[in-house]
Amino acid sequence: MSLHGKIAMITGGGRGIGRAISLALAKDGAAVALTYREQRAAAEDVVGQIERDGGRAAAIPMDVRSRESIRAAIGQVEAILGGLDILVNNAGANKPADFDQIAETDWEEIMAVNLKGPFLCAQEALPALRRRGSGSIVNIGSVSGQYGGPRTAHYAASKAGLISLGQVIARFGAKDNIRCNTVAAGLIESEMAATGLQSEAVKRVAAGILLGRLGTPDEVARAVVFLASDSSSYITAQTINVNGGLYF
Amino acid sequence: MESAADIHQLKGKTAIVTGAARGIGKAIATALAREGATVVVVDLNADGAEQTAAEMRQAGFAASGVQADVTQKQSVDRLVQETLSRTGRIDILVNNAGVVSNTPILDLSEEEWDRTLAVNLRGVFVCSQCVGRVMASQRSGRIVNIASLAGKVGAPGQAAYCASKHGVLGLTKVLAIDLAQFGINVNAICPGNTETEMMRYVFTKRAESRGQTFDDLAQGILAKTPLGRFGQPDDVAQVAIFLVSPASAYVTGQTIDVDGGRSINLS
Repeated sequence: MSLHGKIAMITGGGRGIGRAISLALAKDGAAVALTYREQRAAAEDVVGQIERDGGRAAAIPMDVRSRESIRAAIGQVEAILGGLDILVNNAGANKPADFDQIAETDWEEIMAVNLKGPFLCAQEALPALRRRGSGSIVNIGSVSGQYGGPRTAHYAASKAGLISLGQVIARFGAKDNIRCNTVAAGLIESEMAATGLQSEAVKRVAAGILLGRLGTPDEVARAVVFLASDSSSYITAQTINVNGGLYF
Repeated sequence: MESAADIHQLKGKTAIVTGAARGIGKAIATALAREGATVVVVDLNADGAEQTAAEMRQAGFAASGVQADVTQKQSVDRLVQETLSRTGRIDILVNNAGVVSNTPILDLSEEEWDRTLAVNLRGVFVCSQCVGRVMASQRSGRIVNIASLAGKVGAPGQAAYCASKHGVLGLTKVLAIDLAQFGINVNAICPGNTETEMMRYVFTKRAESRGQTFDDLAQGILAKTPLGRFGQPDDVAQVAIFLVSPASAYVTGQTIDVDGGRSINLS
């Protein structure tokens, strides 16, 4: 399962699960471009870590809400690293609130980042992947999108939509040997601080995890490595659940 | 951090693969051995089991062939005892043994129904229980069940096969629930149309019943398979490796389809 010679782009690759994905892909031999919107220092820190370990990496500013920004970033990835084989749609946002308290502006913001972002990134990445003769697109989904996660109407709906979007991309990309799959993450340690996993509702859900613990960012990352590699060459349009047995 | 690219990532592990004389089981047994595991090649056909094990040994792998009937607890208990006497532990069980039944429902005999359910479903229960007890005492283990896309959808003339494979997916979930407390992860793989003798048999019978040629039938199925090719046994084996490796430590109770995208096309 080696990614030697492959070039990967990870949106939001400087923090949390994205950081773990960037490091894991690099560890398996891929050259890695990780994009950031605001967290430049975090992204450059990951690049430094990869380079110290002898890998190739670049941090690239990008806003998944903007087609122009995405197009420019992909152009940079090709120019700096020499192509694009793997796109990981990882950038995501969440803003938990009770259903009747969710503002329209928050709904639109979450949809723009979590669902329209991957749509735009995949569309813009297709020509670059085609130039390489094959490709793998991996979307980072969530168990929230599979069972209607509590207090996340917009987040859950966006992640459910991402699974469907991934199937359509898989259908369209197959003729160019471009695969597309989704990793649906369960409750992952890194998200705790950011999204209020301390809430009572989430604690109740966590108590139902078969493996009796939250997952780690690296455990999500390793499923991404699998789906990015030729070990999964006959897998497309699928969702792999990395949730410790929380949902199946 | 261990890397999935580590060579011999299964070194020191003992694996049992049922139905491993040929086809997908043989590919899985070989892939496990390539990753460093000591592999017990199990088959109802004693000569087949030994021949596959011999081929693997010739390639420099650690393998032994054992005859067993997965439907019989006594036979599986003997397999477990033999394995323990050799390696002292069992880390990986791949429930791959299966038979296909391809007979329209109005013609399906009770004997064919019973035989299909016995091998494909009872066999998974018997092996998982016998080996599960060993894994529970070790407080670790991985079980991978080879189901089928026929475990998710209906297929013409495959009442017994589909029922058995749907059952395997239900059983997989309960095994995951009941065995999680012992550190045992249980998952299933649903292969799509994979180039084996079984696939050729099913296509031949289906083509006959429709008055089609084998090639026309195969082309029709390929047209509905986004990646445009049939699966190879090794495509399934690579996924099995993922599901028994450290890389999938947080994955349990799940099903991975290895079907070239076939399942996104309805009918």
